[in-house]
Amino acid sequence: MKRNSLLVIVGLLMAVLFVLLQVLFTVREGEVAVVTTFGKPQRAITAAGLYGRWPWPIQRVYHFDNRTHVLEGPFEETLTKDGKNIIVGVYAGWRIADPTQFLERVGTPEQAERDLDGLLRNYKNAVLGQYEFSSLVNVDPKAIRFEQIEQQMQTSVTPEARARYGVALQFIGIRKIGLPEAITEKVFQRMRAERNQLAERYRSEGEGEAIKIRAQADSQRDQILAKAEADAKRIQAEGDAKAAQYYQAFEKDPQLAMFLRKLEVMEETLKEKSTVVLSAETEPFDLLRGDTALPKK
Amino acid sequence: MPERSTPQNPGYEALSDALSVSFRVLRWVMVLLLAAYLLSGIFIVGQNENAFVLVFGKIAGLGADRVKGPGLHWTFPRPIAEVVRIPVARVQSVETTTFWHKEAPKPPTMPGGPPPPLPVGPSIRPGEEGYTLTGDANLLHSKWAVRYTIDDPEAYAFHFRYNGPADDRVGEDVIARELDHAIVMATARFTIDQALRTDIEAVREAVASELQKRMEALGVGVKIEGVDLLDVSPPLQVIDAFNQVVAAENERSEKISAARGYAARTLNEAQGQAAKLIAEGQTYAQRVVSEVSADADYFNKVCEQYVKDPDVIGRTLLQDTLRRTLANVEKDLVSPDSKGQFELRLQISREQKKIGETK
Repeated sequence: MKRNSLLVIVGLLMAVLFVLLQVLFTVREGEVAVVTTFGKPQRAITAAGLYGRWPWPIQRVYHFDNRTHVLEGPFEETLTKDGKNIIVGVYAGWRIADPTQFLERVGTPEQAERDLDGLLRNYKNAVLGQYEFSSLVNVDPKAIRFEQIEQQMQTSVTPEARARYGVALQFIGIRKIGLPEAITEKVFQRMRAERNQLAERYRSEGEGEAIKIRAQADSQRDQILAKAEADAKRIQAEGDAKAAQYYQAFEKDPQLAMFLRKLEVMEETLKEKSTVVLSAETEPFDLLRGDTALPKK
Repeated sequence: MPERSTPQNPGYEALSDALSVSFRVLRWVMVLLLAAYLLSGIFIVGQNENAFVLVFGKIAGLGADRVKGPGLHWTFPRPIAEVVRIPVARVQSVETTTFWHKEAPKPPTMPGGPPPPLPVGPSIRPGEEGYTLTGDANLLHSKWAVRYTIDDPEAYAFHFRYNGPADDRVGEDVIARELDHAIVMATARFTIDQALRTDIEAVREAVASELQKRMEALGVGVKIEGVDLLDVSPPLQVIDAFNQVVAAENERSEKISAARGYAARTLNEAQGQAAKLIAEGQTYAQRVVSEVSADADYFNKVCEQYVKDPDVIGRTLLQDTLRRTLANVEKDLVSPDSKGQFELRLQISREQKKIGETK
């Protein structure tokens, strides 16, 4: 009997499981679901949890990922208000706002992205046509209107996306700004010209600066030398002045002083190689003449 | 069960015994399986993770209980419950090469040879290579990365989707695009010189703050830890012109430093010269003073004697001097003049002879 009862229990369990699988379903966190009865949407489920339903073929459940999807928009040429050709690429975040409408109008996330792509394209071009190139790219941060442009695109696209596809557009951002191919070539020419000019400026600046530094150094050197010469002259003059005090001594007998001076000069002079012509009268060579007598006093 | 006891049917009996044994085994197997099934609800949350338990798809628990920290936990086994792990403490990073130029094809390894130059066209076709526009309308290539951690695991796990092959980097799509967005916005307000060289840090900070602002507004659930500029370059088409500017700048600083060197040398020399001049002046002054004072001393001494007998002292002085001076005479020459008088000619030697050597 035990064997039979076990069989019965197992069989019952399996039957219950089968039935449960047919009438229960879960909606996972981050998901939404739509239950259809004979193909007609009946209710939308936006909160996660366990739910019941009639088994197939009466009711069917469609699950959708309700996390934010990121959509890469078109990257194509458009005109700014001042007639500049630019290429702007945007991306957008979206999620399902109305699951029932989404199921009816769109069906799959892939289709939703195709639909949104068209909307983005229209409004992107319309909005960018109201702004000048300088509000996208400018060294003055105050002139840049990025946020305003993105905001305007979002407020244009949002109501239409909501009404037509049951989709909430959460954000739009500009991801790329480019230029048409022919224009890049012109930009490169301009960049090259700018660089050459800059290089030239640096070179001449270097030259000028170097000359200035050298000239300053030269003038400083001249000043230093001039001052040193003046100082040296002053010191010499001071020495001369101090020496002059000693000359007073000679005033006691100027004649003797002059005589001593002469002696000194003579001695100094004859130190050099020189020929002297002397009169034989000169003392003491007068002795050579044979005078033996002492000079008379 | 009368059939069982029928001895005429031994085959049936054997089968019946075998069935009964296998039923018993089966029962134990089922009990074990049930136990194993219940135990499979045990899970471990790693030290750098947080986890959510979804029971029938819904996050289990209330308030702070919703997030399971590191440790051992139990929940219902699958398919009732599901565990979603979030690497909250790990620093993750996303790199963007949206604005980078085409990489050169790997050159064949040849020793010593320079890599072949990139095939560079005169222009950039849209979509083929990425770049940003700078505030002065120049083109700039750059390569960036952002580092982030998850600070709101629930938002991170359930509010954003990842289009890539694996669903475990959920926020990455939006983070990568927001990074691009921040780069476009930030570089649009700097000049190419700032972005390339002079103000890189400011550009980086602008990207980081722009990104942080947007991420907070969008509620991605991540915290930006840092934005890194991996590489930056002018377009390859004009890179030689940019290199020239760098060369010119180097030239400028070389010229200036050469001039500074000249200036330093000149000033040092001038100062040395000045010191020399002053020292000479001082030497002169000292010499003059000492000479004159010596002369004065000598004069005073001589004068003392002289006043006593001027004539004798005078002559003596003269003779002494002549003797000293004429000691160096090499050749004596005496010639008579027309009146029969002698004229004395003395030739003073070129080199002074010591007095002792004179004959």
